[in-house]
Amino acid sequence: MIVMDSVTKTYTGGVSPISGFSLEIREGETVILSGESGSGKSTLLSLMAALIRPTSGDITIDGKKIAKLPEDFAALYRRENIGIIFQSYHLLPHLTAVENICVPLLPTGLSMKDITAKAMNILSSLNMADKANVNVSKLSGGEQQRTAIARALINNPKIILADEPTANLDRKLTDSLTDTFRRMSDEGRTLVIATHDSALTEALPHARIISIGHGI
Amino acid sequence: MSFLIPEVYILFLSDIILLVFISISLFISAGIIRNWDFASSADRQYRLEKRSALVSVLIKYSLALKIPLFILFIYAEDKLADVLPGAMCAAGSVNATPYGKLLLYMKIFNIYFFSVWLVINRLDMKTEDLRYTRLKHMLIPFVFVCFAAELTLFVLNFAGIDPAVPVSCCTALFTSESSVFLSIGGRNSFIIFSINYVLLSLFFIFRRHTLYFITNFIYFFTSIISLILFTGTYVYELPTHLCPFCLLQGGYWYVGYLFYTLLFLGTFFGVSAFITKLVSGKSSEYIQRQSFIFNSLYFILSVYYPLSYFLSHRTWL
Amino acid sequence: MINLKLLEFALGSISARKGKYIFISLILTLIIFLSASVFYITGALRLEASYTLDSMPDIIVQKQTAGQRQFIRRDTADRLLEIPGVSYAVPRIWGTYRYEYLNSNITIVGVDVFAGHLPKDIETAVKGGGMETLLKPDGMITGAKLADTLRHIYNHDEFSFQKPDGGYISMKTGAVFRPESGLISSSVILMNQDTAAEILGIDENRATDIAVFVPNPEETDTIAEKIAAMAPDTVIITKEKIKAMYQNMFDYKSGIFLLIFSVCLFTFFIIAADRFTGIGREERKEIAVLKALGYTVSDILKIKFYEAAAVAVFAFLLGIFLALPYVFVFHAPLLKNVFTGYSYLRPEFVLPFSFSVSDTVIIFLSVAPVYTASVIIPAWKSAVTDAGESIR
Repeated sequence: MIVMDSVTKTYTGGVSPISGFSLEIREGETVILSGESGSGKSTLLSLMAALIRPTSGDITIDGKKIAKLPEDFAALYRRENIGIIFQSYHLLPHLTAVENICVPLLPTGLSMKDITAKAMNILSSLNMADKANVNVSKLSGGEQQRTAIARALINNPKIILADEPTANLDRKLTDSLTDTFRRMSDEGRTLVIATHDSALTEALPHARIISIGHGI
Repeated sequence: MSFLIPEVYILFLSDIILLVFISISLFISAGIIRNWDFASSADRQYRLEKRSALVSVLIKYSLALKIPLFILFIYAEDKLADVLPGAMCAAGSVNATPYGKLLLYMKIFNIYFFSVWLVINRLDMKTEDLRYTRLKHMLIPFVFVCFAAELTLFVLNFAGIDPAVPVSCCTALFTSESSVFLSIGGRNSFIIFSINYVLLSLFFIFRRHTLYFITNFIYFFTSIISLILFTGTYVYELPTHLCPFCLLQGGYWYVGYLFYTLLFLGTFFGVSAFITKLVSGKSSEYIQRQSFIFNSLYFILSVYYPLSYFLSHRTWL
Repeated sequence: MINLKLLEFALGSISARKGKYIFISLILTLIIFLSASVFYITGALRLEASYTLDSMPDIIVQKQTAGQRQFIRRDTADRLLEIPGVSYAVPRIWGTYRYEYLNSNITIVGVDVFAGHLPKDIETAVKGGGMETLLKPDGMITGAKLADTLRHIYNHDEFSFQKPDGGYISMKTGAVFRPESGLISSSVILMNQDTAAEILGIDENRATDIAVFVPNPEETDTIAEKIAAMAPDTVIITKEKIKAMYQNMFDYKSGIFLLIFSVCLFTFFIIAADRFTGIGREERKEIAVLKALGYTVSDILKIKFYEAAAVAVFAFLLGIFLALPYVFVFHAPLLKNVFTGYSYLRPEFVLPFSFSVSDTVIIFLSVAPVYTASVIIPAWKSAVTDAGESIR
């Protein structure tokens, strides 16, 4: 599903968090990228989402080379294949939960009615239906995270990328999150989770763990 | 002097804005022509890609502005005709200085040119390796030159208009000056135009794209000549009234705008189909069809006026 | 073409960041208000001028020697009548009377009630019961607004005119007339021709000018040439020439205003561009997230343009909505003086209502290009924000 072939990313300042990195992730696999902050986990996620382009090396996703995609093609690629769960959720504070979830599909040709129906479906599967019309700034941390997960799922992506998903959660919420991840995996989605939280690693025993340190 | 007429002033101000934008485009394009390297993953290449997007936006904006400004230009010329002694419509004021006609032609040409550029831009944005980026930026210097020429003509024209000097009215212009043109005669011009249309249809049906493009190009001219010499006289219901501008006035239900819009769309899609083929090597049936539909609508409208006159009066003009 | 979902999204983000847009909307509203007021005032003045033009004869013949206007012989009219194509020619007696007390001029018009081709307003006044007054040597018909002004000053309907030889003629207002034009209403007095001649100091066989009527407008120029050949000491003014002059005058006046206006526009451009460029950290992040969620550069550009367009439509409607009452209900205080010049009688001068669609389109076009231009580069700048900033 995801093939990275001796990928190097050097930022403008000369820092290379990723250098000659190769990786292969099969379809439906759950992968945990573990490592300290600054080890290059986020860079890897960004590369897989085509948010940034590698300095050298190839990235192939589902048979499609994405390393050199121009911006607009990268955006369309994400819209069709990728769901991202951001560390601090990045919800739009002036919108309600359901409105936030609809955001990724606004530029498509789908009607607002269809998009909202999809969003409501996902919200109810996450037990959030009653909070649909609440402004996200009034939601609790756990509810905000579920909203962010719902937004990542609205385009029915093959690949889910999560950046430090447990960073702002307590024990109980972490458990419910791992349930959600398991369910996504059961649905056949490929999961890539960047985390340095060992609790999450333990809770997902079927996951392949890739440790990232400096100098890989 | 005439710069102080609000319409002319707005045209001038907008043109200055466009000049700034096209100059920015020129500057960016120069960098892209020199340094474009799609294979590179240097920051410079990414910057160029972003700047290239700005050029697209600027040219899109320029065209989006140029079309209403063109209508305003015709309206301003029409209004000037009220002030200039002897002029009855824009034909008189366009001919008030030797630059007026050139300016009009240049404006029309530039609208086509900008549109063609945007066609190439669209093709480019559709390729994953931005194959035509260098090509489209190579055209920007020409866009700049054409626009600068238009602006120069604009200044020369409106600075040169003297409200005290009488000008000719349209019929006088089209009957005396262009005698070659007139010698074709109304009916003949319409026959030539019709033959042109039949050829156009044949080339469309048999998918002869290059030939379609050539006939489409000629169609632009034969259609306007026939509009002035033949169809127009039926719109005015006066065989001696030869004018491409009076059609645009309220007295004739502004039907001129319909004529010219259809003609522009038809011929533009024709050119655009050809450019698509030329650049990408693939022909687009869709664009080709659009062109044929609009050209046909124009033809139908051109036939409608004489025919309805004949049906209600039982005679030709 | 318009993506309504993104439009709604854009409107949502405007209301979430009101502070950023309020200032720019207010300035834009003010600029549109100014521009609209100027166009509506010139439109109204043009309408006012057309009232004057409507009542004008096709040709006016005046005598001029040594560069000075002279009174013309009344019998010149009989000679002009012989020119083929002229349907009617009549000597007119009128002139301005300096009225020091108000520091302004009153226009005295001598009316021959039996003459043909009277201007519409005067004819209405004569037919509406003014005939008797005009036949009396001391009767006058006063423009309604002038009558009000005079009544305020003197408390009765009499007015004494001083003749050029120093003597006085006392006149009584027998009737008022209400022309469409506010300018005429506030400055014109109609009276018997002989009395008018006496007050203005015109000899018995002379007149101010001669009005010539030509039924076929195409012949006007030819006839004007013939008159010039016949009476070389005359100045000939055709209605067409005056019309063109008015058109030029109004166009140039509003043009000069536009020139000053463009300085405002330029300043506005700088302010607007600056405002739109200054996207905060929050907004940058938001755009980066949208791009991470699959928004293309043109999707972001669309949102930015919808935001700008919403501000423009709001400001445009508000500006027009404010300009209409300012001009037509309050008669454009301050701004009107730029166009009419100041005098004591003229504040009474009302702008006739004239709303034209083409003027409104021109108002829009006078602002729209500059405004959109100020939006375009900032919009591009935010649209090319790095999507990578969403994860970092």
